[in-house]
Amino acid sequence: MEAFIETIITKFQLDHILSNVIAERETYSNLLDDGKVIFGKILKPSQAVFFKKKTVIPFKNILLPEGQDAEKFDNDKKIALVGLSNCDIWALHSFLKEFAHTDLLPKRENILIIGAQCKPDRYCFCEKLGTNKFAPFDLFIQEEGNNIAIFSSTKSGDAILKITEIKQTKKKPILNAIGEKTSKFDPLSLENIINNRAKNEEFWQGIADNCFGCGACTAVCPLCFCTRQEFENNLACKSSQCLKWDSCFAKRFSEVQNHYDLRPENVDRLYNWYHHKFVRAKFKHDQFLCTGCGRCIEACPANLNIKNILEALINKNEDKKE
Amino acid sequence: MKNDLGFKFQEYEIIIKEELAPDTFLFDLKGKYNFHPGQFVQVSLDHFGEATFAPCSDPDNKDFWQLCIRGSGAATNQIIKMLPGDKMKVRGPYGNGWPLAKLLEKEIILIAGGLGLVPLRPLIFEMLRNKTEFKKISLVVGAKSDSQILFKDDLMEWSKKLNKLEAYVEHKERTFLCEKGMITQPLKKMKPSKNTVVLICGPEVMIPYCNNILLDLGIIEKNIFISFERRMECGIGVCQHCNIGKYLVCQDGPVFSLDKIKEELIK
Repeated sequence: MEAFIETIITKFQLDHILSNVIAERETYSNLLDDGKVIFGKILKPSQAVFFKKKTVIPFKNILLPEGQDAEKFDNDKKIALVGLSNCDIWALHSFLKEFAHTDLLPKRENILIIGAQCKPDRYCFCEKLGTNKFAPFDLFIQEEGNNIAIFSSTKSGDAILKITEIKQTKKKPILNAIGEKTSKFDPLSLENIINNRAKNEEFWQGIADNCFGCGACTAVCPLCFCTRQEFENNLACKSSQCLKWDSCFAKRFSEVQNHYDLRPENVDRLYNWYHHKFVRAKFKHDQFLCTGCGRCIEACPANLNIKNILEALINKNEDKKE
Repeated sequence: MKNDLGFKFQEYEIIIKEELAPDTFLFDLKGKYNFHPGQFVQVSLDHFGEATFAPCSDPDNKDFWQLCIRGSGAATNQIIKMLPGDKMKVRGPYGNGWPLAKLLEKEIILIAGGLGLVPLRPLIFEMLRNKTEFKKISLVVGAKSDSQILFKDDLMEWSKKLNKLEAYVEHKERTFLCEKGMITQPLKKMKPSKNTVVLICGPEVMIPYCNNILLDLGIIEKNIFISFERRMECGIGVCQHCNIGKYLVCQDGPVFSLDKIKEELIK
């Protein structure tokens, strides 16, 4: 295996690296906007903030902006996503995989991924889904006292460090492990249990009774990418066909002709959300559309907790077996 | 041909417009269109919206192809106002269409409810051209009233060529070759063999009634093919509006065999 650079740098050197990246690519990072950390475009290195709590809205708005003109996708542009936490890097790869058969999104080789050490909060549960393993990144940074440890794992990551004239130090830094060591959900049984709706109908009804159906979870989820089309008129008397974010919790999401709704009740829509994440995505692209980032738990006004729901569902079905 | 890359439109000029039934029009579009019977296209009308239709002409026609459109929503009510000379923005074709290879040497029953005749029409043209390849072809058509029956000229012609053609309407107004009753009535009288394959296209509510009768007649689930209609937003397997369980109608369908889709329909 090729050796990639793993070294310790100063914050000044990190700014230097970032300014080189910004010069070459459209760069997006966590930044402070009106006192809040959001994920957006940066023009200079000093705007980027690291090692803070994750942003409410993830990177998905960068790849597929709200109101994107359906006929004007620019998939050739080179972008850099800076400061993604490990679970978000996993989400980014899954997101690209879901769109891989289209030419709507930039390809992986046009995206520079610079990850950053995350700051877990009480909502995180990446270890339960196995996404506490390191995701493929180009560069990854980690706090090391007053300095910063930087790790490269691809040639493009190495190239950037070489331009900035950063060399390998004698003592290599070590990547800190992420998450607690708890047992992971068994992916196969999770998929099978969720796939069998009839057996757990009461359980789903119980969850749906507490759910407001507001769709906050779908708005913040890095891997919820349902869209609908809308036409926006402009002053030139033309219209553009825009893709708007949609939520599968919306009442008319599954409506067909003559106002016939295929998912009339909240329980149908709630189940569909879980089914998409853990069954349909597994079937179509061999992945779960959940990385355990915990954003939906934090956003839920009804305090529904996907981690507890999945745990309860598994326990309930294991009890039945015995 | 790979079509599901993105939102790439082509424009086709309308050459003839004909009213088939109230609010239902047949548009002849100039040029040859490559599609399999049962596939669908997305038609976009600026300012108003996009809607899903199935091409309904003979796939071999080199001069023009046809779309049959009923005005029922915001977009379709405007699309049916288009006139010859206007250009229609089309993308597609998408989906897999009817499984032609599985129909050869078989007895075939086609069930079309209302607009369900539209995606079946190209298949009927193709089957009549290669009639020796199929043992027997029957068509059952159902509609609300006889003014709602589509393609009456074609039906008259097909009634001579097909082995059996029955048309049933819920409200009988005047005499056409149709009888009063539900589409399920003629099905009960059918005498299918082991080889019979059934293709169904129609409103969602009609499908379970038909399936129950067909299964009672002894037709196996593997031989019942259903074309589903969903409201598509993208057509390229991204927007997740058209799922039936783990399948997406735009990518994996719109035609599914009953044994494949049965489990998913209840989710």
